[in-house]
Amino acid sequence: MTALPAPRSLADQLRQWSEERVAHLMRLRPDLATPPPQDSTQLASRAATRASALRALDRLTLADLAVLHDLVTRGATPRAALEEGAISLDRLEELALVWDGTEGLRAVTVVAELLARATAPTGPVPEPALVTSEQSPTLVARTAAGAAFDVVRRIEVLLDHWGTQPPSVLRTGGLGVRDLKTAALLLHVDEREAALLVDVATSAALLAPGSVGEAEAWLPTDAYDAWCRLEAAERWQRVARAWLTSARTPAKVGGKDAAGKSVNALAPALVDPHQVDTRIVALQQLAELSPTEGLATGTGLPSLVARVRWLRPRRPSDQPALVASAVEEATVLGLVGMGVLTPAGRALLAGHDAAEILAPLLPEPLDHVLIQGDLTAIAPGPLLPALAARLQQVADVESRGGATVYRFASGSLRRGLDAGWTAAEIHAFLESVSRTPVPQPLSYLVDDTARTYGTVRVGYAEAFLRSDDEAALAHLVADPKAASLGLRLLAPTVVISTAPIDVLLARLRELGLAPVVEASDGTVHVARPDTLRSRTPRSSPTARDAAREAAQVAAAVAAVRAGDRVASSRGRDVIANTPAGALAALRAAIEGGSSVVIEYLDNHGTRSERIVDPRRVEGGQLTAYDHRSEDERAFAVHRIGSVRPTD
Amino acid sequence: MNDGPLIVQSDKTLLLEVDHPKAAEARRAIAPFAELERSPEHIHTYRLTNLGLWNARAAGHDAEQVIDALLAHSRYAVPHALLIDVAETMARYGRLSLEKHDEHGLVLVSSDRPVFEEVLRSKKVAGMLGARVSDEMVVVHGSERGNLKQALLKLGWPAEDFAGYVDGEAHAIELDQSGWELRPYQAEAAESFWHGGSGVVVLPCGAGKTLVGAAAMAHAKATTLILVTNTVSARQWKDELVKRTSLTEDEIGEYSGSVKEIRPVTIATYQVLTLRRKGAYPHLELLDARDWGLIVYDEVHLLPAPIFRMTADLQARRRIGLTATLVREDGREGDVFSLIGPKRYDAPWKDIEAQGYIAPADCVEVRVTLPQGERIAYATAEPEERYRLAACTHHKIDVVRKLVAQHADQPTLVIAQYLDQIEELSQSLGTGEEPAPTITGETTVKERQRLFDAFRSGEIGLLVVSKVANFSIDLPSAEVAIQVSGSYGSRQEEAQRLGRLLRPGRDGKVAHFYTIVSRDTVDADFAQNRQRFLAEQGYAYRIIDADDL
Repeated sequence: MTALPAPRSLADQLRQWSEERVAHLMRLRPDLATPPPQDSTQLASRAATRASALRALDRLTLADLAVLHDLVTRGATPRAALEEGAISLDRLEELALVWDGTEGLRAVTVVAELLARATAPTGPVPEPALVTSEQSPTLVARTAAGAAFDVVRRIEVLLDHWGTQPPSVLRTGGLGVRDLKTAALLLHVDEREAALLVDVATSAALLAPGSVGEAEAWLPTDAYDAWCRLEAAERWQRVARAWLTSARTPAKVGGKDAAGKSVNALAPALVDPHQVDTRIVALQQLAELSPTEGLATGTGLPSLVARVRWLRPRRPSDQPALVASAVEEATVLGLVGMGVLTPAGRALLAGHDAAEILAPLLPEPLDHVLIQGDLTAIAPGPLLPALAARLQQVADVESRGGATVYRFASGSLRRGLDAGWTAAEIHAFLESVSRTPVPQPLSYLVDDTARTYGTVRVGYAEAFLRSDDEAALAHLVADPKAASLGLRLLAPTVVISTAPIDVLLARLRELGLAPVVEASDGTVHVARPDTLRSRTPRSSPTARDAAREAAQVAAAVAAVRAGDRVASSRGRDVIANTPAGALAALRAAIEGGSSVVIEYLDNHGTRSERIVDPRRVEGGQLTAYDHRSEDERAFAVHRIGSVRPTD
Repeated sequence: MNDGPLIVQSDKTLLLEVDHPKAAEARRAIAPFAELERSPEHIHTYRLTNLGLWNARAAGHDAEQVIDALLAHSRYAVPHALLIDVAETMARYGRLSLEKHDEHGLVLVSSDRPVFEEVLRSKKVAGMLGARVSDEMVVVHGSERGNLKQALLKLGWPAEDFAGYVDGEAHAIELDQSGWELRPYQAEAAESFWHGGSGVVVLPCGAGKTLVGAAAMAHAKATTLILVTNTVSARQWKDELVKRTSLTEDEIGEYSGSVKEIRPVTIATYQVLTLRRKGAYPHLELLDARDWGLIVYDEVHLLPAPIFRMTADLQARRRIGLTATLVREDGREGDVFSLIGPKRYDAPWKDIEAQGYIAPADCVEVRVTLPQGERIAYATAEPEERYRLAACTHHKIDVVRKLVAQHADQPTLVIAQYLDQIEELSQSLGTGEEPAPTITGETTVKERQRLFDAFRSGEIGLLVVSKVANFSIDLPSAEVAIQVSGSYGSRQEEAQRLGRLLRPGRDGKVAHFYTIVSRDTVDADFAQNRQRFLAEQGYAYRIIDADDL
């Protein structure tokens, strides 16, 4: 390297870098690599844009930032004069925020401009330490696995429920306060946690707005059905990964927005551009601890906040809240247990397969239940999904958690009969799933329900009710609650109604009867409530896929090098006459502080060539010192036909 | 994953797998703070409630113990939110305490300023507190000791009562254990009560609550006021005390509708105390008639509301409540907690049964089908008439006759609610011209006593009773009970009826409990509650058709 002449510009320096170094830069600043730049000139030009520079500055630690401020104040300085911040300087150079020119190290012009407006950061220069305490890894793993299992189970319970009774989408796009409350009650969690659960369900594309009739409602997607068929650990991984890369901030639900309105769950505005980076930085700090070391209760979180503040000093004032919610949410989701990042959480953060680490910690799905004399069936653990679905057709869920308690009642059995089961099938099913003998009262209840099931039949054409049970009809006709149906007894076994059939059916069921609907040919229709689904939203590929990232960087580096070879074969000082080329040449001139000749079309349509010293490119305007008018002037970038170096 | 027998649900229920090898250990660990809600054959359900956790605190357990018990025995991870909730709830007990101050008398003390300020500012305690003594102490009006405890419980900051008790007028009472012995759990119950100061002892019917009362009196050795549900039960208390203690008949007074004696030990009925004339309670003075050292409340779950108000004024006296269940149909469990005291002893029914003190029961529901005519009458009847129509079908009489015949040589109780049905039963169950003996609300106390004695001695093998027999009368020899009708299947009534049969003393004999139910009517709906209750208590329950008898 020493043999090479000192670079004249950032582009020059980049050209001299090894491929490995360029690739490293692209990994550090991924925005430079997409789409792959044509050559080093364009790469340098991109690195010198305001947006990209800002993004890079935002990721600097307090120490790096202080050194950079210092350098900006001094201007170009030989490296030897900057002993103190040597490590920081290397990092800044790696990031292409600083380059080593003929006069020594200097900050890229746009960086110097950005920092000139900001105040120099203050704070502890040594990196703040985390306050930690020792935890038992087994207890941590159990706690977190329990949380992970609960998350998967809760999402399933909620979305199953919403599949039949979806909450509507607010006009502003979120979920109503009342619907969130109901969800929290259903899941036995507080509203904060419920807001997180629905939010990660949308991030994981399990829940999305869909239309139900005229209205828009939050519906489980068809991806949800696929998700349900996965192993619990894999289901968790999908949800946790979606959370990790989501910019959404469900922790703000229930608070007030800038206009003083309260923020709804799932609202589209619940997004913070700094959320993902802050979350990952915070979790990375935990990942650096040993597996038995966790954040201490009470003091641990503030120390983590201080550390993140040091690592990302340019971040906005709500950074502490973002860090706190990251840790809280990670705990709810089972990535963190008792302040320790779990092995599964570490794998997830590193982009490895976390499901296989979590799987052995989750309870094994069961294929049996215990049926008891009080007409409950208890599943002492998670059930196989198919078994759970069948059981739910004939029994009501009474209590959930590690175990599930189902209760048989005549209503639930009737639902089973409605879904097409026969009494014999129910008996056989109960026999086969129960590890204990089926109690006599339950068998009796099944037979008794089947006996009364379908004693009343309702017809479409004339809206009739017929039943062999004369007393039941007499009862119905005499019932003042049925008055609105306009019932009239035609014969001891036949009643007609003036009410439409859907009203009639509902009312009859309310009155405790179990009518079945008869088709015109006399066959009996069975019905079960349809479950509703919406379409899976297309998700953009996740940015944090290590393999994909590596491939992208490699492709970009190859492209840059190829472009450089083409440029060098053309000769160095070419006329840039494409818009992108012109911009790159202008930026290179800004960096190098050199003069260029531009071909410019002025307001009168006259084409002229001018010698200018470009100062900055911003908002479609080139600000440059014009040698002809001997003054600083603004040029519209789109009117610049070509740029070439002065001879 | 752990292999413990306990599963903690997020709705605060705990499921205990009974057949698990470590079940007994887990049960012992959670019994102090969790309330047993259901105990069917395989999995018992416990519930964590605020009152339960505070009861545990009162008994000296702390949140760490509770959390440790949950973590140690739980099969799956325990929901974090639940653990936090347990710790927070338990920490609320005892932040405030009532104490006796040498200078200021009764004071409310707290070391937690914010809580103290919150409570002082509450409207609920307005008027109960006097001058503020310091940042952490405020004077309490002596008369408001009970009301304040009630109000603080409602605010969620239950106070510990360290203000102590008056000794009362001393009176020698000893247990006279010749020919019998206090059972270990009875002694333990009395002991726990005495150490706790005041509180409730929960024992199933037939487990000898009267003896626990007597043992408590022997601890107190002071004049005692015993409050019971009715006159018959008052007589039984008296007999039992004469038999089991050093007390003589002259030392025990009865204070009821007919007799008004005030003696060192006085047994009064709730009814006479709550009798109202011209808006006043004329018999209230009984409470101050002597310097009572102990007050015994029998059947706390039936304690009428006015007695609560009176009890609020008796906070300086030791109080023991005896009951089979803390569940009150009116939901006033919190008042029992704050006015009588926390639970001091509890034994699950099934455990006592396993110890052999209570006979196991076989519960059978017999379903009769209403004949067509009655069904139509039922269907067209007014809703309020329906239960009566369904419950009083004549078909039931035939079934009762069959059952009585099946158990001809066993003492049998037939229980019904409606007088005309009792009449009908009595006629049809009689032998020859003689109707079967009956006891209803109209039967005189003397006659009741005579019939009970005759039943007990085996002179009569069959007794038809109305719901007056539900409460606190000892019928030790009934082996079969047939319930024909009852009021709306309340859980409490069920406990009582079963208690009828579960009296100790018959070595290993199986008691039979039949209920006769009309199919497809409200009667059957109520029967479902009953079935659930019994099955939840762990009793075998069968349903048969009347035709299959």
